[in-house]
Amino acid sequence: MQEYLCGKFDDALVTDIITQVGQDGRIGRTVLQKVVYFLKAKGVPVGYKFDIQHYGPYSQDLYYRMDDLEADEFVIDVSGTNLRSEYRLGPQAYRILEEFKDSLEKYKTDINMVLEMLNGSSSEEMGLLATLHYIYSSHASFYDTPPDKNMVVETVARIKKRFTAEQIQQKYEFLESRGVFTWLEN
Amino acid sequence: MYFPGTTDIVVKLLRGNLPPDLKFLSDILSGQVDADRMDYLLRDSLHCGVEYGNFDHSRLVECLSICRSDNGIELAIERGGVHALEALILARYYMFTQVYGHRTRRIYDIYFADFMSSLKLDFNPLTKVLNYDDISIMLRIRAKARWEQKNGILGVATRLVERQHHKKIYETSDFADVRDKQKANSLYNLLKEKFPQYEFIIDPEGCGGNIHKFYVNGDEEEGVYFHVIADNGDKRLISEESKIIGKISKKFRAIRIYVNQNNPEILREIYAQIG
Repeated sequence: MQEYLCGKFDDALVTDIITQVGQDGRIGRTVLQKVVYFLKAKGVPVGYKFDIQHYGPYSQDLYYRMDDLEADEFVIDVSGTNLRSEYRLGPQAYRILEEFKDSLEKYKTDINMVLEMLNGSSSEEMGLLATLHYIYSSHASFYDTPPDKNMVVETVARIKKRFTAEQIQQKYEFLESRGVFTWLEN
Repeated sequence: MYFPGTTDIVVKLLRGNLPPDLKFLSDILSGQVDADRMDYLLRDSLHCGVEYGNFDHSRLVECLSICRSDNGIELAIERGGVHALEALILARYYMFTQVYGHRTRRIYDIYFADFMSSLKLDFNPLTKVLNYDDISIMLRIRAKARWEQKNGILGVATRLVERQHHKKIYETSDFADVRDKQKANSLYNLLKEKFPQYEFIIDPEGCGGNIHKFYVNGDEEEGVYFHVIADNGDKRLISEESKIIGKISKKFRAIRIYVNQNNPEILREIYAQIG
């Protein structure tokens, strides 16, 4: 019978991401959401379901799961405030990373590809990239046909008001050039 | 209304990841005010013989509407249905805390899950699940219980059949946070160390659920922008329109520790350790 709160592949994956991303090995909750979103799209078997919210694709279950990871000391919140979170590895992290070593190894290429693709983007830009992908992939999978680029850009412009149409278009082309619109596992 | 392709569409709706202009369809099937939720709260209340899950579903359905927001076309509610929606959220909260997460029901969940995994059934492909039903599983539980009793073992099958459950000796509030979870974990480890002769069970994860996912102003976390539509067409967020929804915890989680003892003296000893 289970003694720890966390012990699934999803938990190991999140812990593994924290070992690899962020300055000083720290990562915020928003960035983490976007990384996991793209990993799922790429085909890594993530159990979280993402809905489109104000800042892009978002999973409330993943948000709450961070408390469980913290309780098990796989991660530590170093932000010192309740208003935002900033995670780094906790003292027990090695336990789950060791347990899922083989599965993590299996998806290492996908994980690296997603992290490399997002490298250098601010959390807001990651939100924009994820929203573009969400709008594109939702149309593609529902209607079984790729959507029109202008429609995607216009829809995203309504959601992401902070970005200009040019900026959105630029990010669309970035995702297209990286082949990210073929990631349709969500 | 059924037409060829309906099943595919429903599957797509349930998977989520919908074009924004169709979001209201998935809101009806799987959302904060969805048909399933309205149905099972009432149904479970009836069959459990409790009143907690009741709310005015007719009024709620009558007041549902749709509206266009930046995120697409979404399910919304007319101003007159806000109290019926509050009642749905409260019904969910009461059912979680007093029925689904009830301490005794939870320990039997743990036994049942334990029994099912001991059967090592093959559910690949998933349609193989259709080879089993309540009766076939109950027969297996009874057979295993007979075997356990013949061999003098008090196993999970006997516990299920004879209603002999572990006793709850510790529980957090209904809204355990990180600190409460860590405290319960440490206590569980301490009890196992101090009383190795007894069997302790911790239920850290199963007893919890989301009460709602609405966005509340000021929260770090994101949420569903569910709108209330006034008579003049103005839109406001449900968490602003309803103080109850704005304040109620979004998540319910209770962590409990159980022990395989009923003897009052032994329990006193354990309680003394818990403090």
